[in-house]
Amino acid sequence: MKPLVFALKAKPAQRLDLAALLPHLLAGKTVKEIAAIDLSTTREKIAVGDVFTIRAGAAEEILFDGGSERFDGLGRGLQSGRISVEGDVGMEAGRKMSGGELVVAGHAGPFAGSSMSGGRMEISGDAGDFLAGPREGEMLGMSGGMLVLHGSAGQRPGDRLRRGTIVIEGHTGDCPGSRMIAGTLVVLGRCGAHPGYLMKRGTIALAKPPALGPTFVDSGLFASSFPGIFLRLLQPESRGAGKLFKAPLRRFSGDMATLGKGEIFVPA
Amino acid sequence: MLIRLSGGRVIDPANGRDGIGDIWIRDDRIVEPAAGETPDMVYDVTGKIVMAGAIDIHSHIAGGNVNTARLLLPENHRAHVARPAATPLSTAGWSTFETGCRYAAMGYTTVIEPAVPPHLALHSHLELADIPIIDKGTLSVLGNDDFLLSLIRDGAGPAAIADYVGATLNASKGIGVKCINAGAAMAFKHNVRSFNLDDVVPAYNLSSRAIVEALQQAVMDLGIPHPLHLHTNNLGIGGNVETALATIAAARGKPLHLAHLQFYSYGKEGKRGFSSAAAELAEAVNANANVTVDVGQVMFRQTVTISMDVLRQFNAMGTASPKKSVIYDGDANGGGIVPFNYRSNNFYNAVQWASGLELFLLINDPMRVFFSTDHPNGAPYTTYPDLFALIMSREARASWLADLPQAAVEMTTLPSLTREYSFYDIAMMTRVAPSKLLGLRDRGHLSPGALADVAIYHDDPDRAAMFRFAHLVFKDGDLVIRDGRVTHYRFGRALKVSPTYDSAIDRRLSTYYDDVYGISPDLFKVPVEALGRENPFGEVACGR
Amino acid sequence: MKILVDGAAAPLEAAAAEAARLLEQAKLPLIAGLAADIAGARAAIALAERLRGAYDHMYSEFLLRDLDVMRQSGQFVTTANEVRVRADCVVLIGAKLKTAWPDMLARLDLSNPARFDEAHAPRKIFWLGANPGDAEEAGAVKIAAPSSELPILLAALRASVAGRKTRPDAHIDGKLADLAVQLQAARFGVIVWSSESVGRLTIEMIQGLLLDLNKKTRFTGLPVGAAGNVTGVGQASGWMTGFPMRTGFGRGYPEHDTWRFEANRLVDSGEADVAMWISAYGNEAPRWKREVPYVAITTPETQFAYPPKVRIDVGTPGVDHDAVEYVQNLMTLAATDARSASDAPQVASVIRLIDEHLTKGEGAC
Repeated sequence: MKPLVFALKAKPAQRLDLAALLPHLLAGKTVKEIAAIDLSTTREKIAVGDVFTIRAGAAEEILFDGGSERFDGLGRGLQSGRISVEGDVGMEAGRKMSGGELVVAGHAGPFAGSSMSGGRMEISGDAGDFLAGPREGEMLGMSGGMLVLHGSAGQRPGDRLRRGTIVIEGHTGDCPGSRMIAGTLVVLGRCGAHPGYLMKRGTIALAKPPALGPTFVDSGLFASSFPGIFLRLLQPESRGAGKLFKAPLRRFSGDMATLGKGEIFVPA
Repeated sequence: MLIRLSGGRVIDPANGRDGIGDIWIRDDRIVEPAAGETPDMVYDVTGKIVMAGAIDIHSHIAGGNVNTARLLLPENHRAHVARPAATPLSTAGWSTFETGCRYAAMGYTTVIEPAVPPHLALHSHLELADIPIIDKGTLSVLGNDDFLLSLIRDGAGPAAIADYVGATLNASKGIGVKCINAGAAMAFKHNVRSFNLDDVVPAYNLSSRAIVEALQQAVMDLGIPHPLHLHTNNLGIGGNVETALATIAAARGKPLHLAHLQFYSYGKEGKRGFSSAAAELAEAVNANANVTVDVGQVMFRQTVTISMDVLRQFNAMGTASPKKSVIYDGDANGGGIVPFNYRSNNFYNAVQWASGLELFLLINDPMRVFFSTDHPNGAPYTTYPDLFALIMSREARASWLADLPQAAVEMTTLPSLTREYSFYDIAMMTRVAPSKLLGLRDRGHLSPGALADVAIYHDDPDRAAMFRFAHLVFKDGDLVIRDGRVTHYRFGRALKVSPTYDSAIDRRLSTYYDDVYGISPDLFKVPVEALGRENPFGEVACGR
Repeated sequence: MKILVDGAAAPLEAAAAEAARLLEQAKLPLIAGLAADIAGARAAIALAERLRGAYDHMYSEFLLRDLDVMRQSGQFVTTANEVRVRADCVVLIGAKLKTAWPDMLARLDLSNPARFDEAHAPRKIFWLGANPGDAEEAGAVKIAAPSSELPILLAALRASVAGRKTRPDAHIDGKLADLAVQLQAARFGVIVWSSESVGRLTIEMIQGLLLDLNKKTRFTGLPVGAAGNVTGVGQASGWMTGFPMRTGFGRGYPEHDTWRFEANRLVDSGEADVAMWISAYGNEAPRWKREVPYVAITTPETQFAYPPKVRIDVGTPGVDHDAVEYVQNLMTLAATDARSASDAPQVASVIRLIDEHLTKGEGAC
């Protein structure tokens, strides 16, 4: 079946809120109905038809032909189906998604995968700050699913991560895995200062760790290998991540400033 | 401007009136029917219910702690109304502008903010000045301030205490005096973690009871119409009905208002040690004519508790939902902000809900039990319409009760209560009684000469719908609500008292502030011109 | 006092009319700077709503550091008065305290015992990461640390107070040996910081430390606010919209988004097409890089990198006119009298005048 295609006409004149363009919300709608959906974020009205040429298809799979740094909320609240973007996206891509798949070929803005609870998100380019993290006043970050970032992340990826897995193949800014509650964060590139700051539980694996602070206690070489089921999940997503976990690792427990039941693995 | 409201059912208990008739308004006042004159406007309100504007005596609508709660919970009050505001800032999820609009839409025209620390009075009045439409007032909080505690400890005598209270009320521009867990905030600074009526504040050797008695006397001596408004000790704790009963006894027959009594109506029965003792408490209220109470009803939903009872809020941090709290050690009382989610399937919350309704139904005199949710502590004021429906209908209560845990229902007498409030009772409780309690002679009734604050409702069998969106509301004779929507803004006044006192206390306070804080008490003043509205204040007379 | 339209002197009315015209035809007008008294902030926020634009403050970042911690984990806080009269143990943090709050030492009266400390003992004072000379002046035990070290120093301190083990680190352990003990022995302790010295996570660590300490004793915090009345403007923003700065009204209701409505980003991305720059407290010019047309309401000494379309000079709150501002010494909003009253226009009155020239909508203030 053909996907439903939104082909970008030109760079939009304002930031767009694209959260209405989800498979479960568009199923059964005509092209005309879809074209009328309001995307505006300023007092200037702008609708789908103003920005995109729509090519009819099954809403179960949506393709954005062309992206923009102004595409906010793309895939926000995704429950099922698949969305792929041939281009960049703005902030909050895949925020609070609970299922389905979101694939971004370009870069993503801040808060990509923010507080997602399920499904799979993949970004080929870089992502902004607070990858998978909560927004203003919210208490929980990502709580399920798989997020793979092939490029680099900004500050504090995985903030308040509670469940699920994040793999960053590139570098990260400072404080990856800040305030983690549980879940797994893997960083293959270089990593900024203070990984795992204020983490209570959960697992961080760093291929190229910086110096760890004194509230991460050396628990020695990690002898037992990771559960096979976890590696089987990770291997197809990121060969680098799979490789990291097969090598000998040293384990640090922390953050002892708080509960201290988290762990950071680094190559032994 | 002469207005005739024609043919409605006028319910005006202050005048013993419940019948079909007209109300006439000239400019901002109710007038006698103007025989021979042609009104400029006639509103046919046949079949509608006509009452004076409602008055809320206890709702946390403005001030530093309220604003902290707003800033604490941005994720909980995102606006969802995707339309431009017909009136500025009224589409915000939680703003002063939205507060004025929503209160007015329910037919409320006067609301009292019951917790203003004198040092933060300017902030509170700035917020009140940005609440459109309604009139408002503030209660100034005393009872954990070193100056007062030292006066009492040092035996300064009632006159000096009254002077200090009078000076504070004048400076903070309040309409009355509130006392919140007397001495406990001070004790908490000394690391005391529980505080009862006869517990003693360290360093002052002074019981909570002694502080309450002194303030109660000062309010009487100053001739302030509103009696001491007391938030007593042990709020929210199982078995605290004993504290409430002891507090009623401690009033010794003198006027006392007990705030949000529901939060003190708990026994220790049952395997969880938590039961409703509302029946016993209601009996005590019925037997003590000097005591008035407001209920502080709990309704099931997410809310946030905002209280200057900092000790209680500190102890409640573990119950926060979401898990974030602010604990503020202020110059005197301070306060705490603890988000809370009342759930109908929670045993304790269900008992709380039922015990509040028991108080409404078991306290006989609607002139002495006041309608409140202690907004937002028991529930936001926006739940008032549902609460009106509950006290007006036994059937409505039964359908709510059916959804509660049976174990909780068994801890209350609510299923056995058949009383239903009439419109007349509602008007007594929300119009007549508050005007009397606060000394607001110009409102709460529809007598000629009264302020033309009038609320007109559809007589909708769905009482919640009826009270949520009034048909018409007039404030000072100006039509501000039509079919539940604000027509335009106007800005009301903050009502205050200016009791007379011996100004020698001002000099003494200047010396004290300089000595203790190294600053002038004038820094805490509330200049009228700072509020940015014309005539921001209205005066309420004191009399001994 | 200058009133300029396109660089040429103009009457106030004409300048206000031109400002209104510019703002009203914008697709996304931005109110930035926002360094004003409460009356000015109220007028500006009401204007932003009427224009369906966005607003930010030049020092929002510092306010939001404290606020983000509060709204994602909570806060213990007290007043300057309480520190002065009650604190027996005071921990000062960072190098920016004295510049952020020049009155601090005098106001907190740290050189004298706390009046209401029953033991009436000399205060125990510590300063982590002080500037040279600051700790000595405050009579504080100096715990030297570059600002980059504060996050791990506070983490180690919190672990030590909670009795959790840390990885031995002679450098860190030596600095903290006595401090953890002293904190737990305090009767009413206070930690003082400025968000100009410490980031969000470090502030959250401080708050976590306070939470842990309060399990047994009393301890609280004193955040020092930044310049430009940012704390006061944040309060007015809170009661007017429910949110702090970085809020926009594009969709007809307030939306708060710390990333989307950050002023420099809005301008540099080209999303905001007209701006208003408000700076009533001194020479502060916009820091955006793109040359967006803007209306400036600023003090006379303000120097701009490129000229505003409309410039209306105003007086300084509390100097040229009476004002309500956040006062760090009191930790609340207070009315300050003009120190040398002048007839210079005020931010609020200028905005009201601009507002009167708008054709659409209605203003709240």
